[in-house]
Amino acid sequence: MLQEEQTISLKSIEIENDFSSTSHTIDTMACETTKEKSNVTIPDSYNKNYLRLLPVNTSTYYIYWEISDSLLHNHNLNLQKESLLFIVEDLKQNSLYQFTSNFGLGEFFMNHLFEDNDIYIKMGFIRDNKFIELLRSNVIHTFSTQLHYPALHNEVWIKKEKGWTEIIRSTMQHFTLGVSSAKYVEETQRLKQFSKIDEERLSSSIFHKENTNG
Amino acid sequence: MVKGYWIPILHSHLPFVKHPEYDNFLEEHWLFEAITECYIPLLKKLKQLEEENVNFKLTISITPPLAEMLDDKHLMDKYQKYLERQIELGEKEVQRTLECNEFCDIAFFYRKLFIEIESFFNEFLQSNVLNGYRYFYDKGNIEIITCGATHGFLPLLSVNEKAVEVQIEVAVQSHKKHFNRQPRGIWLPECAYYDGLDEILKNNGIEFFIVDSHALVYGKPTALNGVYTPIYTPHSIAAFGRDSESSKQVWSSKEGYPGDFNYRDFYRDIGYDLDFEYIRPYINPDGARVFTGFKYYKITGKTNYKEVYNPQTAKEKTIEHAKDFHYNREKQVEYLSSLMERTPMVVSPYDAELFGHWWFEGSEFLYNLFKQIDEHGVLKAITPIDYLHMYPQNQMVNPNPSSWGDKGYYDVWLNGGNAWIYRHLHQMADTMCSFAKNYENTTEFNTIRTLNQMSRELLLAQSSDWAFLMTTATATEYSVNRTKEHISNFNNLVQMLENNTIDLSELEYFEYKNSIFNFIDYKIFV
Repeated sequence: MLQEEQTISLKSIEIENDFSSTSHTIDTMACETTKEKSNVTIPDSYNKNYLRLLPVNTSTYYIYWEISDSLLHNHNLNLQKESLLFIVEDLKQNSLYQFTSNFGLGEFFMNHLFEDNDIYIKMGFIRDNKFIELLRSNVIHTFSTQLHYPALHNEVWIKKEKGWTEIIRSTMQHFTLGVSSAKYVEETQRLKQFSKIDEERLSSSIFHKENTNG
Repeated sequence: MVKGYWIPILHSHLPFVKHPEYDNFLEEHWLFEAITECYIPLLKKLKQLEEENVNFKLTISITPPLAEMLDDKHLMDKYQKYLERQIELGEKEVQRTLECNEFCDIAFFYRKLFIEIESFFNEFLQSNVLNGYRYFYDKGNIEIITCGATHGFLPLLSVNEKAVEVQIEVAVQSHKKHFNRQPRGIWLPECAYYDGLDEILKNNGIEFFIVDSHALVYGKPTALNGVYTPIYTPHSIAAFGRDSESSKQVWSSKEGYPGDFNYRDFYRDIGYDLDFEYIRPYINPDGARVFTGFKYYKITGKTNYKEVYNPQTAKEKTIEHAKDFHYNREKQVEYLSSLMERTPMVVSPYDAELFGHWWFEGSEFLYNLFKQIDEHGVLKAITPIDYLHMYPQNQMVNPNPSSWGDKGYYDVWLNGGNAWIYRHLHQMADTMCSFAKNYENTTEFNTIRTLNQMSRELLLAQSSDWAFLMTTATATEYSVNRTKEHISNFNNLVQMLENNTIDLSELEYFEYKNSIFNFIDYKIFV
C-alpha cells in the first residue's frame, strides 16, 4: 500500500457529511396542511409466523416478529408464563447477543456492534434446559467501519471492454515487474495493446466493424 | 490540457402523486413547482448552451414515477391550468405594484418568467417535459439513467429478494417505455447499497451506479483511489463514489453557494405575506396559505430583515460562484493528479430539484459553470460511461452497505417513527409472489387486472419517500395516509381474489387513481 493511495482513500471521507439527503428538496416542497383523517384500515397482525432482521446503522438493528396462534398452540406455549428467547448468531453459529420477550407480536431495536459480519437471529424458548427453535430470520451482512487495505497478494483489478471482461490479480511474481501493482497493470495494458495491434494486422476489417457497430 | 474530469449528476425524483378526485390537490403542486422552477429552467439553459456552441455533458436520473407523472395526461392538463393561474397572478401583481411600489420590477420579472415558461413548455417541449430530456439524450449531451421503480429503499426491501428484482426490472421497462432504450446506469434510491445488489443490477443490464464515499473507502478492500476513480464490484458493475468536497460547496446549509445574501429568499412568499382575500384564489382551496412561487425578497442577511430581490445582481453572483467552483475543482484535480497514475475524476451528485426550487438561481449557476469549463479547457465535463471508456481497467471492490442519508446508513428510512411500515411491505411482497405463482396461468381478464393492480399498489407502498417524510415530519400525515392507502388497497384486492368476487367498480377506481406503469405484468413476481 503506497502512502499516496492511503492519502487518497482517506481524503474521500475526510469532510464531514452535513449536506446529505437530510436536506432533500422535497422536504422544502412538502408543507403540511390540515388533512381529512384517513378512514382506511390496515391489519394489526397477519397471524403468520415470521421473524425478520433489518440493519439500521453500525450499532442498531431492527427486529420484528409474529407467531401464529397455531404455532403457540402446537408447542403448548403460554407467553404469560414463558418468555421467547432471541439469539443473534453468525454463520458459524457463534452466539453474539440475546434478549427475551413475552410478546407474540413484537419489535425491538437492538443496539450492539456487529462489525462486518453475516448474522441472523433465531427465536425459541427454553424447556427442560433445552432451546427449542421456533423461527429463524433472514441473514444480513452488517456494516464495516474500518479500512481494509488490500494486501499485495489479493489486489484484484477488472478490465471491461465491449464483449469481454478480464480479471487481473496481483501476485508476488507480478510485483517483480515493479514496485507497485500499478506497474503490473501498466505492463498488462502494454501487452494487451500489442495483442490488439496484432489483431488489427490480421483482420482489420473485422475489428473496425466490431467497433463501429458499438 | 485536461487535468481532470468532472462528472455532474442530477437526481430528478418526486413520488407518484395523483389525485383525480380533486381539481386542486396540494401535493400535486410538488410536481408543478418542480417543472416550473427546476426542470424547465434547466432545459432552457441547456438549450441556450447548445445554441451558443458550448460543450456540456450531464448525467440525469429521471425516476420512473417522475417519468410516469410527466407523461400523465390528467396531471399535465392540471399543470397547464397551474401555469395559466401563475400568469394570471403575475398580471394582478403587476397591476397591484404598478404605482410607486418597490415591488413593481420584480412583479414584472415574475410575469415574464411564467409567460416564458409556458411558451417553452408548449412550443419546444410540445407540452411534454420528457421531450426536452429525450432531445438532449438523443444528441448525447445528457446520459439519462434510471432509478428504482418507485424509489424503494432497496436494502430494507431485500428481505424478499424478488421485491428488489422487480424494483429494478420495472425501472428498466419504464426507461425503455419513455426513452426507447436500455438504461446504462442507475441512481440507486438514496444511494443505498447492500451486499449482493450488484448481481441484480448485472442481470438487468445495468453498467454503473453511484454510491456515497464510505461505500468505497470502507469497501473490501478499500478503494485505492478513493472516490477519484470508479471501482468494479464482484459482478463487474462500475460504482462511482460521491465527492464530498464539491457536493458541500453547493449543498452545505452552512457554506454552500445558495446561502449567498444576494440570492432569492426561499421562505418569504406572497402566499403568506399578502391580504388573505386577495391571495385566496391562488392558495390551497381550503384556505391554507401555501407558497405561490412569487418571492420578492433576497436572503439579505441572517435576521428577519429582508430587502427586495434583484434578479440581475443574483445573476452576476452566479458567474462569480461558477468561477469559484471551477477554480476549486482545478486545484482539487491538480492535487489528486500528483497522487495518482491517471487523470482523476470528481463525481458531484445533487438533487435536481435543488437547482431552481431551493436555489432559485441554480440553473443559471450550472449554465455559467459549463461555460467556464468550456472556456478554460482544464476540466472536462463527462458522463460515467465516458470515463469507463477511457479507463476500462479498475480495481475490484465489494462496496460497503451504505446510503447518502443522514449518518450514512439506513436510519432515515428505518427508525421508531416509520418502522411499522416494513412488516406490511414485506408481507405484501410475500403475498404478491405467492399469488403471482398461483395465478401464473390464469387467462381470466379481470383476475389479471386485479393482480396487475396489486403489483402497482405494492410498488407504490414501497416508495422511500413516505418513510423519509415521516422522519422529517414535513408531510407526515400525507405519507402515513398514502402508505395505509396502498396497504389497504392491496389487501382489498387480495380479498377479492380469495373470495372470488371482484368488485369491478373498486378495481376500476384503483386503476384510475394509482395508474402508474400501464405496462406492468404481475408475472414479473413469479
